[in-house]
Amino acid sequence: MAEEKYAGYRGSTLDWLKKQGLEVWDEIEVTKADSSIKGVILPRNELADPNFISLKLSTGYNIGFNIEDVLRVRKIGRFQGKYRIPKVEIAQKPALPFVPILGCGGTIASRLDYQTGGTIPALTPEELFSSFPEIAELARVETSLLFDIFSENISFGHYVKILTEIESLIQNDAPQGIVLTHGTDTLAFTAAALSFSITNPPFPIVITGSQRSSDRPSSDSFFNLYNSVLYAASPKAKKEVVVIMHEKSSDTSCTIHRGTRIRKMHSSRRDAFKTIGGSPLGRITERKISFAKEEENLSIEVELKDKPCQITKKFEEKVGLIYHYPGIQPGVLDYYIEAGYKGIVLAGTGLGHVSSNLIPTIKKANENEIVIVTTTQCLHGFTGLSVYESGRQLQKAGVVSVFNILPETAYIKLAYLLGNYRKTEKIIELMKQNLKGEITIREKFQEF
Amino acid sequence: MTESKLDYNNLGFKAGIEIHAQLSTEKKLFCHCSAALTNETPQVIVQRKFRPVLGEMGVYDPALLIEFEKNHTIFYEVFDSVCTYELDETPPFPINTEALYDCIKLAKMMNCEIVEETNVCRKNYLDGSVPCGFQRTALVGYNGQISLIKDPPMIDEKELSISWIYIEEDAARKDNDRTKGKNVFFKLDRLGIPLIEIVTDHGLSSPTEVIFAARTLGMLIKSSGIARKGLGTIRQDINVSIAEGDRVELKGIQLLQLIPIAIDFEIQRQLGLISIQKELIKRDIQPQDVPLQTLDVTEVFSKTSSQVIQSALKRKERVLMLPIAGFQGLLGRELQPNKQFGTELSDRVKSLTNLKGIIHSDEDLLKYNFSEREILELTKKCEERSFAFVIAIGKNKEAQKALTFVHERLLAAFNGVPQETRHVNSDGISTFTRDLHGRSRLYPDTDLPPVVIDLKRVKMIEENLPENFWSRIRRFSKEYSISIDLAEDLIYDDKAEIFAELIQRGAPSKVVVTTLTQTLTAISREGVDINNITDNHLLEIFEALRLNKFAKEAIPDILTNLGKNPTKSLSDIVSDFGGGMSQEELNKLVLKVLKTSQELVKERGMNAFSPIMGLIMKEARGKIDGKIVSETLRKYLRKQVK
Ligand SMILES: [Zn+2]
Repeated sequence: MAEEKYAGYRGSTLDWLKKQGLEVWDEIEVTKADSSIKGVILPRNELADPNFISLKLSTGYNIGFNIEDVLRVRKIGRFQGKYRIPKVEIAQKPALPFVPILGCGGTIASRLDYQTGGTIPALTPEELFSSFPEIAELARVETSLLFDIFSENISFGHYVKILTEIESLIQNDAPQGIVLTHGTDTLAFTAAALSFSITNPPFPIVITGSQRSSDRPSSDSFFNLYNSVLYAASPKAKKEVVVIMHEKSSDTSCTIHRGTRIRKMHSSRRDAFKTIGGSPLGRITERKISFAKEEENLSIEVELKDKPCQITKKFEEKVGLIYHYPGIQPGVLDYYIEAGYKGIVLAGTGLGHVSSNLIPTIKKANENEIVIVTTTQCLHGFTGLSVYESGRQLQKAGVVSVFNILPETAYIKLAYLLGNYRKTEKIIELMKQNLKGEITIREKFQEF
Repeated sequence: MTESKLDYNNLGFKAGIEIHAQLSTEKKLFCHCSAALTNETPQVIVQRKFRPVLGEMGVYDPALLIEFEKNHTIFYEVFDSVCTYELDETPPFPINTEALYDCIKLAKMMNCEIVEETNVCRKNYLDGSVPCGFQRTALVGYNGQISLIKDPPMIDEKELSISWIYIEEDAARKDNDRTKGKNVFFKLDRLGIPLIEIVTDHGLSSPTEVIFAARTLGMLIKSSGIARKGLGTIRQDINVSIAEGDRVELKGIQLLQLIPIAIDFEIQRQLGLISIQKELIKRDIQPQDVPLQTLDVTEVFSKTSSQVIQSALKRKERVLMLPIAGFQGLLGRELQPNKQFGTELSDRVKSLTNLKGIIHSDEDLLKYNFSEREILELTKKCEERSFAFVIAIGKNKEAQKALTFVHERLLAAFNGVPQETRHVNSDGISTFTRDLHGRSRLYPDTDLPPVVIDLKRVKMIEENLPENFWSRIRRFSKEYSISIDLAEDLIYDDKAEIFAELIQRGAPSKVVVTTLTQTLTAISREGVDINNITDNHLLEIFEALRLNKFAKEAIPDILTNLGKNPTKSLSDIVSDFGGGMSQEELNKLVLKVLKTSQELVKERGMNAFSPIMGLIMKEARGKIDGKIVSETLRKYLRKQVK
């Protein structure tokens, strides 16, 4: 790592540093015209303007200076900043229920990179735990980092890794419940993947995240994690996959969402996660868990509760999710057909419609045994292909309408079904069935 | 200005100042909300908790930990005029370039070097005043210099060195009406208003020089035309030290006249602390003689008649004592008027914990209703050598923490003056607020990329800098035939423009001067929010005065009324004064009052004048000149007495 000395510098500034015999963390005095300033050379963000050198002044402020008109530069010392979070030994209480925390990256486990000034997902659950010692009062906690990436980079391989870990926990540790920390961007997809892949989990599986990284004093990560561990450790908790996040902007309550009906509805707010088309399962206020009345969840439980826990780890990766837009060309679908895709979820307009110029291509896809389902971009409400002629044409072409399942959930469900079932008829039949609360039979008036 | 008894020269006095001023941009610094305060009632209240985060070096800032341990819950009052940025629900938008280049303009007026690429940094605050937990701030200029203005119109040879100029966002306004105990309320309207901070070097060598520096910088800011007007828009903090003491930051000084008074009190305090340090040496007391060994003395008070302790015991609290070797007599040493060294300990505990203070052995313990027996038992509990002790009452953990802070402060006494931030009250006496912040509070803001400064734009700004304020003062004084001092005051107080406007409209200049320079200051001291009084109000008032709607004596009352009821219209307020009063109406009123006061007149004769005058003025105030009232009354009264 020879280039570490010049971290982030390139082009003229890199040449200049080399020529001056300077490197990152050197303390220098730079003189320009009749004024000079002292500071420590910082590593530089590679995306920033390449003509400047970053300096940390003794006041703690950072500035950048242009090397062009430097009259004189003098090395006056060296400084090394090392960022690490002290791992605090917390006395675990053996009598408390056991709750493993599995780290899957994301903002809840991200911290400021003091060198470059960017946010990187590098805080291990262990470090997180040492920052939040109060969690030791709720459960015996053990943390492990499954992977350390931004949530937008998570895919099926990562779901399999999580499922394998859960399988091993079931076999070896018999925890009271488990908590996964996850980036919020694709958290809903992971929640759906785990919901479909685990039948009758023996304990609650809680997924949580944060919208403000843990390096901020105002971070929501502590509150979300605290309530998630509280829930996972509670004998009252439902043995299914749930998502626990801020209910409101205030640090006063968290909502318990079912893993298949959740969606991130705001790019940055703490209360971004909403249960769509129904009520959340419950909430946690001042350490008390309360559930909504079961019928309010409006889900039909098809699954047989007396079946043993079963985990499948297969997904069909050749599944696409296409957002319909005016002017969409059939070539978009042709790509999927030619690339050998096995399933396509359409996020159609209104009741689930797509442009009639796609119909011939859809027919072709259907002939190629590609399962095509349609959902609604509206998110709220049911699809209905029998209402208009255009819808009936779509049905005829082989498009399957899947009620009010959310497009993202439908995408994961289709990948799960295609990975675990062979017969197209069976897959279509299951797509239309409610497996894990992803389809609701009633929509209450007030819930929109 | 009162003459100080202190010899600042010999003491090695040094000072620097920091000035904060709000910029008058239309929008806030990091979002597109209007940069204005509001009187709206909040739409929503959002509740938050803050946690300390590790600094760049992997350690917690001790000051932040203390703030966290207070366990405050923060409530934000959300108005229609703020957006999700202020609530820390949306990342910042790019920095307001108008504000940034306004700051550069000011930096150029102070001959500063301009930072070529600014980096927005985060400065942690856990007190809740910024919902993110940090204030966004950026260095804009450095190494500036301006001439220090002494008595006008002389320009002193002394140069004032400007170390740094920053642009930052203002914090939220604390709502003291709603704040109670651990629940702290803030209004979000002020949060995000662009603020400049100017920091001078530590080279000012007397309180007078500090005033001159504050005034010079104030003038400079005002003449730049970029600052918001009105009281409280410019705030100054002062750093002072003497050779044997250490740097102490005095915050919250609202009026320039208070500067030398506050400095005097602070230096007296530092001298007092130095004398305690010397006394400890004389007594041969070492820090190791003062271990942190606390005793639970709750039992001593099992039958107490002290109400303070009775009610604490009811709350299941404990009484903890820290015996202190060698401090007898020192805890009671006065450092500032009515503030002993013991008060320093108490203030510290008040500020850093949720306790209301401590009790120490140099106080008159009888005033807490301690019995002779209780006092004797407390003394016995101390070791022989130590007659001094401090008592903290509270939940065990909290009281223990309080005594730990007391202990820390006692150890610091061996080194004389600790570095700290103090809040200056309106009488110039200061109270401990916190230890000086370390540098670990600053780190780069990851939400915003660095901004490269447009040097062409800087050059253009440089070529169009506003008129030097000295020439402006001279021009103004000449144009309106007023003294240089008055011209300076008017310009300094942002009253120059309205003064000119009023004079041009033919308002009587003497009344205008009194109103602008004395009346407004006077009613503001009485607690009236004069920010509610706009230039338009003043124009209206003088127009109404010209039309004889009321007498000039009514002006203070009208202004007070306006300040207190900003939503009321001026005509309503004037009609409260019933319009003007003719001599005829006055005669009738005088006769009426005299009739009802006949007893009084019989009894006291001419001496009944004052009480009767009072009765009449109740109805006539502001409607007719007081002089006319007294002449009329005197005439009628004399007749009756005869
Ligand atoms: Zn805003």
